[in-house]
Amino acid sequence: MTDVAINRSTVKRRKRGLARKHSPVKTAAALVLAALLVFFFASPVVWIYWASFKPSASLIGTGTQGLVFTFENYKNVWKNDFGRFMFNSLFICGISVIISTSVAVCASYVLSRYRFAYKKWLFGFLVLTQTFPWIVMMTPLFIMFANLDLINNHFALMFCYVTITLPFSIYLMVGYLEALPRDLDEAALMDGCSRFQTLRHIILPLLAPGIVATATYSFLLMWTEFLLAIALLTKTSLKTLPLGLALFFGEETVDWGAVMAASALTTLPALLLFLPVQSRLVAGLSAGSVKG
Amino acid sequence: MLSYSKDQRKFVLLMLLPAFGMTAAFFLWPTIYNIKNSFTDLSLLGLRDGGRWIGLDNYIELFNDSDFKKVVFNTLFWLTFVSVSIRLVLGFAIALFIESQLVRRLRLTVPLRMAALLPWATPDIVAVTVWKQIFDGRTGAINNKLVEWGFIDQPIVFLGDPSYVWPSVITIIVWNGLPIIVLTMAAALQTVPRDLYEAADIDGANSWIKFWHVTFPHALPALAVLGLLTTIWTFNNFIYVWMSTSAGPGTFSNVLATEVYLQAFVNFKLGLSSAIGTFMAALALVFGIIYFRYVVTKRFGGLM
Amino acid sequence: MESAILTSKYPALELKNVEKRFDSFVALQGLSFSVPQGAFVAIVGPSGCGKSTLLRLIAGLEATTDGEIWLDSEDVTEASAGERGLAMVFQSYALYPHKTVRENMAFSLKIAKRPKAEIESRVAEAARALQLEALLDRLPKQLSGGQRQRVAIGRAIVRKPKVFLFDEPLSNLDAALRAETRVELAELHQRLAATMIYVTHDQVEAMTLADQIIILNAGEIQQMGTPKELYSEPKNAFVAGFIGSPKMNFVSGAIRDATFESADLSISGLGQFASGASTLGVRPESLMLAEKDKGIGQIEVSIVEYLGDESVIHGRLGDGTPIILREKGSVEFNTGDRVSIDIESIDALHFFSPESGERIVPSPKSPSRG
Repeated sequence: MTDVAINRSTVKRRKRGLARKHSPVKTAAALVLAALLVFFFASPVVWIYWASFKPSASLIGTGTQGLVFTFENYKNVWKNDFGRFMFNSLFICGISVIISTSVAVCASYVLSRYRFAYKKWLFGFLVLTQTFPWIVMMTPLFIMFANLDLINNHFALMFCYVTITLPFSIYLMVGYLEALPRDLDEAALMDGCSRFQTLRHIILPLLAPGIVATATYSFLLMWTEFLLAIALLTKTSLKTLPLGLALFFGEETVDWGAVMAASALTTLPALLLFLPVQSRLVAGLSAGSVKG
Repeated sequence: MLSYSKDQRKFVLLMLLPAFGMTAAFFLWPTIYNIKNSFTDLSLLGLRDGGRWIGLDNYIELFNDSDFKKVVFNTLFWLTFVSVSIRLVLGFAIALFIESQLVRRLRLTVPLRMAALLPWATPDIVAVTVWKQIFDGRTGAINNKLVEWGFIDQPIVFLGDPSYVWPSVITIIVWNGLPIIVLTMAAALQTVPRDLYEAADIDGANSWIKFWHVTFPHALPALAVLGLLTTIWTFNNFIYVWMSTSAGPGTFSNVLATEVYLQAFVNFKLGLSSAIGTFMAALALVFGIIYFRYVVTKRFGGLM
Repeated sequence: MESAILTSKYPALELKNVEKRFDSFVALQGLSFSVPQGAFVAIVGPSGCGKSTLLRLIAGLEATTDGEIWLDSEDVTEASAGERGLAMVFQSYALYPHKTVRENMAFSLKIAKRPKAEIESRVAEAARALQLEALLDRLPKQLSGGQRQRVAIGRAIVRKPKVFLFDEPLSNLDAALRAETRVELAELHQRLAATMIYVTHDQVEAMTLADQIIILNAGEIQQMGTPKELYSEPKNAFVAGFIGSPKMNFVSGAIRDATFESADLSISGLGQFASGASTLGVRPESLMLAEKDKGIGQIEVSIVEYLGDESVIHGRLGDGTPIILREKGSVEFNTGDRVSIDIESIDALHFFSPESGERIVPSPKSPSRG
């Protein structure tokens, strides 16, 4: 009994001792700083969603202020083909992600598991494509696709999206593959698997979380891609979400309500997809493998 | 690692071909074409006729042009150096704060991390869009409050006034790009072995010494990698400047990426645009080679 | 097929002049040996000697640079790992983490498209033999180290391979479990009467398990022979030093007029050895304590390890050469004590050429003690 009592009191004392290490001033300062940080990070995002439900007039200070909520903005963007843009984006990004990820799995498996000449050059090439300024390719690509009569062609954009996501998908995937012991491949080979069977039965199931993270990241990159889309798609009905969003900035007047609703619709899928994979991306990033 | 024998060559080639065939077609061809165009006076309006070979004239024009010097300065100093430095310093400081014992005891670590995720998950064009609204001269939230609180009489056109435009653009970039530094550095800080701190405690080290001798050396590699990557991404970025200011007011906030676009699609001078692009790509190549030598080779050196 | 293995007139495995280079680095050079049907062969050597590479060449996980590998009557040099019909137990066990114990064991048969009933009965048989029946539906991460090790062996047994390959299979187990599993492996070899090739860096494992031991160093075979041969007739100083624990003592000196003389030791009566500079090799168990000022010389005791049934005395000769000797029971020495030592018999002495390290073979004259 006494033993227990003594233990408890020492625990208490220790706890109090630790708490005392931080003065009330410090604690208050930390609370204020934390509040400021949360405000800085979160308020613009909160503002997007808040403003998307407000009447446009109230955003420019002319209409009724106060707690008025409306779906008017969403109806508005929907009327202006936003559903179409969303479908285009889903279609283009969905198919591109499947192709890009499959091609990346194949290449990264070989890069990770086989010895062959010039591998260093392949890695170097991948890295340089990642650090290459895409804006520089706009003109040549535009001319190339114009000559092939592929402007306003979704498949041309898909080709671009597969290719721009390939280098870092491969890079990311090689990282995940390096975490899988080579003994497993070799055990499978000893068990009589062909190389494809090893990939199919052993590597793919174990790589699944990495594949999901990579695919999500590729998807997000394509989902928000603006440059290539604006160069290759000129017909309104073919445009993707980011282009659609830009359409709501008129030359003279801006319908902020509609812009916010469009922003909200563009961001939401990104937010929902991003949260589950972010810790994996953080891990890959400190090793220098992801494009932000 | 599996060895390489004759019958594996086919498998290796088959697996690599789609990826590298596509990337090569996508990157190499435009690059070569771009370099070729940079020696011509090709115009967007005269695409069919092709350009005339004018040798190094485009490059000579660029390097004699004081406006172009300003574009290079804007790109290297404002867009890249200032915004990257702010992000690295602030990001590391915030990461230290988030992972500090005090914040952990107050149970604020997770809420702060969640808040930081929001800007990261926001696409760059949306980030620019919402900040444009916040900065708006007539209706923006900041102007409203500043006027309301009596700090200013006239609203400030943040993105249209030369004295405010770079700080405003950099604010947008920092908001969007700070969280990646904060969260990655926070993750890196968690990997500092606890017993190093305990050993330092036993040696009687104060928190300043612990920071410089334990925390900082441990976090430095991650910070260096992030710094390099952020530099490359920002240097190459077109969206932030183009969407927020369209390189304006006038060409005040013009950077290399927007200049490539302006010369090609506004002035129709494809040849000149290609020369600027080639110059830009050459600078990016330097960053890329540094990145390859010091990051990739270190990480995957065993594979190569 | 399985019965043919035991009656085959061919060796189970034969290597002919096998060489392996990685770029310019020569990992293995001129390896030739053959393994009889049903033998248990251990490949030992220090880390980096090429023993794992050798096993991987046999397995087909690594291609040879030169030479031939034969399994039974077939040249398999160009065959892939799967085609060779071998089974391997990996150091890390390499169990498929996403498959249950049952699926792990059945996987090779499934890939080979064996009938379901056959797969089930073979898995059940192996599970019974290794007492894994209760664990069949667990995932590898739910097993202890020892259980994982048994599953890895089970996965090999199920295939009924021509040859079992083991890559340091016990190195991840704790000492007690390692000793236990060693006995189980020996029993398994008896029961299956299968050919086994076993790579280890632990010479005790090799000595206790193997019929034949191959000692590898720097990519070359130093010696192949039975444990007894390696112990009593080591070909060179490397083998002599590698086999036996504690290690053999080496003292450099010279033989002159049938007497070995070093700075501190003197052994006479060595008529069967040619004169010349030579290194004496004597095992700790062949040394004994002698009465004061008798024996072959003196050592200064540095430390005594008491092991219960015996004591291991570590000391130094006057010139600093370390000497270890084993003595039954306990001894009462302090650090710094000077004690006289003697040899048990001249037959227990080895002499090596200081240049080549080769053992100097005594002339067949009947040995006489001086």
